[in-house]
Amino acid sequence: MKTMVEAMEVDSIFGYISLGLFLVVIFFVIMIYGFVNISSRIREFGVLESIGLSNFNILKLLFFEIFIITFIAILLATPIASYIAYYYSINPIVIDGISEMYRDYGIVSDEVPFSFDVFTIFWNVMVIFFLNILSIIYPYFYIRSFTPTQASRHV
Amino acid sequence: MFKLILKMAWKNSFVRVSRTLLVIIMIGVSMSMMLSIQGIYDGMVVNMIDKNKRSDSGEISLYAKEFRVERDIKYRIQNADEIKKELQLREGVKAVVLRVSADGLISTARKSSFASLIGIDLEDEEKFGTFSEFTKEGKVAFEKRGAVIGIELAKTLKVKIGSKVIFSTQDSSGEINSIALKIRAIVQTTNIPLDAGAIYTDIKRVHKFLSLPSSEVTQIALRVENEEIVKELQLKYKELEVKTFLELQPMMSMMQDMVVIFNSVTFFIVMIVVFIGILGVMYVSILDRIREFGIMIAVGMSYKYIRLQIILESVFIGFVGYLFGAVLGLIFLLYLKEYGLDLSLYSDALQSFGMETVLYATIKLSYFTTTFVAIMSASILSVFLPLKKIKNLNPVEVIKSDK
Repeated sequence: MKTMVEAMEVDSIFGYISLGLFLVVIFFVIMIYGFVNISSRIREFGVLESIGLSNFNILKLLFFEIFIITFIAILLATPIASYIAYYYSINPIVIDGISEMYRDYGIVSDEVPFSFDVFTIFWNVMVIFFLNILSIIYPYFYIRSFTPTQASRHV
Repeated sequence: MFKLILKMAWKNSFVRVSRTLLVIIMIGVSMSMMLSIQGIYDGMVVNMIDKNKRSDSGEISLYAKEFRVERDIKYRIQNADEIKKELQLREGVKAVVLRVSADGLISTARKSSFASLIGIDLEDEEKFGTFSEFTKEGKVAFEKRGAVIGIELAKTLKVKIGSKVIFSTQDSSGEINSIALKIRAIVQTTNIPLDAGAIYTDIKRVHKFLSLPSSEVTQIALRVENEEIVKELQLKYKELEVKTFLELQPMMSMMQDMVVIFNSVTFFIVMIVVFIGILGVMYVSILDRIREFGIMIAVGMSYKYIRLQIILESVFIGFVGYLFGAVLGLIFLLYLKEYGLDLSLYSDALQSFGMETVLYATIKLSYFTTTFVAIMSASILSVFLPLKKIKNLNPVEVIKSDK
């Protein structure tokens, strides 16, 4: 069954290539929104640093902010995405003629069922969570590029 | 006035350099990745179609009626030599090959399998589809009972270069006949039935083996410049079955459609996310400058000029992002076209799917034009929500406010 195992791996690779594209785009969008959020609060960070917050404290603040937002987003998105995957695993999409087309590849049905796999959902959620956390790195260094005085005067 | 608006829009696009750069990078990176994926998937199908044409049917193939269904050599084309000469003289015909094939049993000392013995003329096949390029091992040569075997069939029979095989089938008179052949080369055509079940040898040897006159064949394949010629051929050779590549292999047409659908879905999802990215930046950018717009309205500037300025800002950002993405995407595509995506780690699986282990990308102008239209549309659409905010603006209140 070596060929079958490899075939599954190849299928996964194509899936990962597409998923990689989506994740990169999503990462940029999250980072842009994070950056926009931070850049409009430069003065606030300047004041916080002036009253004694360390860089680490600011990083923690950013982390908790993104953690809360991500947590809420995941709470909303996971049930919706899981339901879609579950629904289509029970009611597969039917593409007429696909079995004929891929007969040589051993496909015998026109149904294309989704895989409802808790582990897949879990790791996708974790990847999105991780990307959100990563997205605070650039805004954090952007804040650090200002001295407290510069930041307090920032318009 | 327009010149002034244009200048203001350009300068305002880069007021917040980091923010604008992030959007440009987002558009550029996502676009280049998307183009690479499209190129690879399209390239995969284009290569499969090209190799299928070169190894088997060409753009058009002629068979004796019933042969493709019955796979019996009693259904064969008479006077093939004359037809070949006629076809070669036709305008638009680049190459013509004659083939004889018979289904039977191929055996080694340990294993046996169903297979098709295909008689070909190497010189003609080189002109038709550079047959030697399919070689994976050995050297394509038919001297001293030489034969060439499909890669999957070679794996099934566990034969190597130099191995001897026996092919048995019924000849034209219905008698069981066998021929001993020596494997000189293993080929991979990415045509699944051929890779999994074909053994090639010299056409004259097959004629003799099957007791067929040299003027009779089972297939005439053509490489043509334009498939439109098929209608003329169907009228001329009414006693034969004249089919185009896609009629013979509808699977390829459907595979092309599937790739188009898959690429479109990917394209749509990426563009939606890009749209959300631009929308966010434009919205915040306008909120940041809401007083500025309030003052502009207060001093008498018409809303339509403000609208134009904002649209131009968004279009500038989108266009610079597009340029960056187009250059980056072109670099990726050129690399993938030249060196390909090496998946030789999974060679067994890819070969069993009729794919090459190295996937090469294609480059189409449409990748860049459709992306341009999509990014410009996303850029323009993304300002509608912020514009709504400005339209409902009360200049006095805005100027008085802190921000």
